Order: sequence, then structure tokens, then C-alpha cells
Amino acid sequence: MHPYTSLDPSAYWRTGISDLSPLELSGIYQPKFNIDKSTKIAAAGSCFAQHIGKQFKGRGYAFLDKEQAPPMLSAGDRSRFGFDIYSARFGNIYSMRQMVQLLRRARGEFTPAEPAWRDGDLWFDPLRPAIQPGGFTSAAELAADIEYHLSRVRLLLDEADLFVFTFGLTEAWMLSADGTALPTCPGTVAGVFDDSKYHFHNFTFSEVMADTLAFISICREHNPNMTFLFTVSPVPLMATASGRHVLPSTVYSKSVLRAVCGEVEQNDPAVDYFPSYELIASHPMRAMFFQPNLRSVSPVGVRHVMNIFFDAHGAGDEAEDQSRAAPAPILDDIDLVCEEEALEADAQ
Amino acid sequence: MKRSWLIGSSHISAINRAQKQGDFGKATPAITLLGASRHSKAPFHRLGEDGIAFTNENYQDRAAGFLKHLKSGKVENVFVLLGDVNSIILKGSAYWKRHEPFAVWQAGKVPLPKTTLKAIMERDTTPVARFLIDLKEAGVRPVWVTYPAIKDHHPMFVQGTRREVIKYLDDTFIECMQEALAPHAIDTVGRPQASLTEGGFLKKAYSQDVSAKGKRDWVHGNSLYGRLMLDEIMKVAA
Repeated sequence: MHPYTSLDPSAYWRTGISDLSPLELSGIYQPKFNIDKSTKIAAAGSCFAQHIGKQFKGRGYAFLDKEQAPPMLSAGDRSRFGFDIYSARFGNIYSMRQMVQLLRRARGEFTPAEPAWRDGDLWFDPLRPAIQPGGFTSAAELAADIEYHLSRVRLLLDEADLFVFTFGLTEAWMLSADGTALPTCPGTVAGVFDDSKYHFHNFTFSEVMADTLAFISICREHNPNMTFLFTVSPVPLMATASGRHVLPSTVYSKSVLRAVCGEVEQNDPAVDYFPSYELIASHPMRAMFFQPNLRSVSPVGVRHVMNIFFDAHGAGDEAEDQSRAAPAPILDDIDLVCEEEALEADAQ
Repeated sequence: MKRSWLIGSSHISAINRAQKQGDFGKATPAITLLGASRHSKAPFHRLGEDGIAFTNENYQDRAAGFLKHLKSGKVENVFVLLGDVNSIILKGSAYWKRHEPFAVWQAGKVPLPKTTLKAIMERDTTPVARFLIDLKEAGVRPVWVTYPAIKDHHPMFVQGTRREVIKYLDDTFIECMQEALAPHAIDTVGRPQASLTEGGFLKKAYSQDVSAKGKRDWVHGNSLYGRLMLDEIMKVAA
């Protein structure tokens, strides 16, 4: 007898993977704690996190939305203006450094050295460059919007029971003056690139780990009982500025993020990890859930992942109903708002 | 002899009543009530090889006479009274108590950036502007006719909505429409100055108080307003 003789079939590669259809894998996600419709859920993160928020909302969970859209705004404009996507108008938060920075800013502990970017008569928020298509019409208008946004983030921290965060990237552009992490490279969505003002940074495991622990710590100052659900976006990098090929750069990025999630989840009973990355991007899935560009996740892939999530939380029947009722509007990834895609325009 | 035609939503009823009450001869425009303004909040027409056609069923039947004359080449000016800010203000009345456009924003309210406000407005102005532009393409002179100003005695002001906010919303709607029309040199018939208070709202004397169905009317002008508007239209048509 040895430890491997009595393992569950899911612990062996052959019985857990090779002998099964990729659609039949079982036990791949075993929730640490219950999430039900009374759980007040906050969500933020990279583009893929938008699917998670939409699914929670669409299935009637208590998804917090602290910056609601004007009711007169069209559905298309709601997304364009960053409404109805996350729990506030954060825009995409690709790195944990950005997330921590946002919370510290909301608490009055951080002020970026560059609070605004000007382009003629228009003003943009360097930390949410895509949130206001057409820009703000004055620095004062932008400042008022930021102040309101940060007040809603504080409220979110006070109210949330569960914070869902989807890790996206390790690569980021930083403001050299004070180390502010920017969501996009200046000049892509807004701003003007200047290598004397901005520099590239690829976060290491230790940096992401430190930021993640800081994030948890700040959240617990607002709600000591807050729980966390971490995921890693399966969406590869649109482009890398690391000087290396985009494939190893993607693998580095995702590996670091996955490893951080693994360590935090192992050490903290209030942190869970949902393997959306593995369910979409690992090789047993044969890339079947990607679009032909091998980057965008197909609606079928998103549905597959989210059904596994909700099945595990005992809401599988509702998931079925939901996919029958309105699969396309909720799941179609063309609705996603991804600033990172601005980089594709520069591809040769 | 070519003539002018006024088409539009229920706001043209005031002009129609004024026209029937007066003796204006053949100089006045023919008037066609297309239907409710809500049908113009999405594309409602197309311009094909056979000219303009209405794709919205609610406008199709009533527009038949106008279209027949249009196709015969007997129409010179087409005055279009479609598009108004009323649904944005009135259906969002709860929203405008808590949110204010940044230009008139007061602390304690949620500031709404101008570009977000314009996106709200353009949802309603774009289909109407497109219609006017296509009318020009079809060979007539289109003119956009403004709707009556917001009523000075509207109860929302008593209920806590600030006048500055409503005036700004109204101005922004007109600004959006004119921005869309200006590159095509399409004129606007503005509101008769005599109908407006100092603050730019519709005087009670020019307000239709009760609708045709006997309900309180908070959006339309009366026949006195219609008379003033008709004068403005005839000035532009001349």
C-alpha cells in the first residue's frame, strides 16, 4: 500500500483526463465555501471577468453595481461607457497592483502623480482611459467623476461579502515619477507615449503575491468576513513589450498569476480559486473553446466554464434555464470591452 | 407650384389647430401627423432608388399622401417636427433628481459628464437627423422644427428637480440635433421668443393644459403657441 493506491479517479491523468471527453471532467472545482443569492458579490479584473459579472447578474445573484447606468443610455453605450460590466466603473483592471492602487486611492492613501491626460479640449483618466469615450470636457469634470467613482468604490468595499477578482496580466506600463500602474500603455487608448515618463514593468511572482496579500488585507479592514474568489483569465496576451515572443510571455504571465492564486488559496481558508484558466486554456481542452485566433474565448467556452461554476454551487438547473433563455446576449464575447485590444491595431 | 409640408409628432397638432383657426391661404404648409414621437427613437425610414419610404409601420399609413406629393416633385420645403427631449426628462424624472449634468452640477448630486449626456441625447436625435439628411439627399429642402420648450409650471420643479438641470438637458438635445444637421446645412425653426419665459421655459399662456383624451398635458403647446410657430415656419419657407 502507498498513497496512490486509494486515490479518486480524478487524481490520475488517465482516469481523470485521457479516458474522458473534455466536456465530462468531474470534480475539477470543489468550492471551499457557499455562494448563494444572498451573498453580496463584487467583481473586478481583466476582460474575462466581464463574463463572470454578467453571469452572476443574469442568474439573479446579489451582484453589486455601485455605479449604475443612466436608464436612458442604450445597451451598447452602457458597455462603451463602462457601465453594467463590473461592480463600479473601474474599467478593466489587468494587474493586482492596479487593484490595490485603486483601493488605496479610494481610501485617500494614494494620489497618482498624473491625475489626468489632456488631448486638446478633452481630458482622460489615465487609470480608466477607456471609461469615457470622447473624453471629459474639462479637468474639473474629470475630477468630479473620479471623486464620485472613488466614493462608490469605498461603498463597495463596505458592502461586499465576496470579492471576485480575475487576474489578467503581469505586464504593465508604469508612471516613472511615482510608480503608478497604468491599465494601458500611454498612446494606445489615450495619452501620449513618452519613454522619459513611462516605463515597462513585468511583475514578478513576489510582487504579485505582495499585492494580492495587500488587497486581501485592505478588503478585510472594511469587512473582516469578506471571502475571495480568484480566477486567472485564459485569454493570452494581445501583445508583449517584454522583448520576447508573445507565447512564452503569455505562459510566464499566466504561470505567475496561477501560482500566486495557488499559494494564497492554500494558505487562506477564505480564498477560493476557480480554474477557468485550466478549463479553457489547458491542453486537454484542445483549444476547442477559443475562437480561430486562438485568443478570444468562444461563447460556448464561456458557457461551459460558467456552467461548471454554477453546477458546483448547486445552481446547475438555473444555469440550464439561463442558457436556454438567452445564451447569446449574455455570453457573446464580442460584447466585451477590452482596452488591450487597442494593441492589435499596431500589429504588422 | 411647389409647396411646403409639415410632418411630425403630436406637437404639430397645435400648429394644425392654429392653421384651421386662421386664414393663411395657400402659403401655409400642408400638415401630416405621422404619429407618436417614440417611433422616431429608432431608424424609421429608408432612402432607396424610389426615394424616401417609412419603415416604421406607425408612420407608414399616415405618410402616404405626403410621400405621393414628395415623389411627384411638388414639395419644396419639408418641415420635420420629430424628436424631443421629453421622454429623456420625464421618463427619467427620478434619475434627474439625483444626477445632474456636470455643467450645472451641485455638490451632493452625481455628476454626469457631457459626453455621456450627449450619448443619451444622440440615441434619440440620430434617427431624426438621418431622416432630414436623407430628405435633402432626395432633393427637397428639409428643416428641423423644434418642439415646445419645457413648461414653466411643470410639477417636476415643485417636486425637487432643478430648473437649471432641465434647461441644460433641453439645450443639449437641441445642440446635438443641430450638430448633426449643421454639416448638411439643414436649418432649424427655433422657438418663438414670445412663447418663452426669461428662463427659457414655455409660458403657461402657450401651454396645452388638457390632452385630447382629457388628461393633464405636460408637453404640448396650445393653438396660440401653434400660431406663433406657424409664423416662424412661414418665415423660413418664404
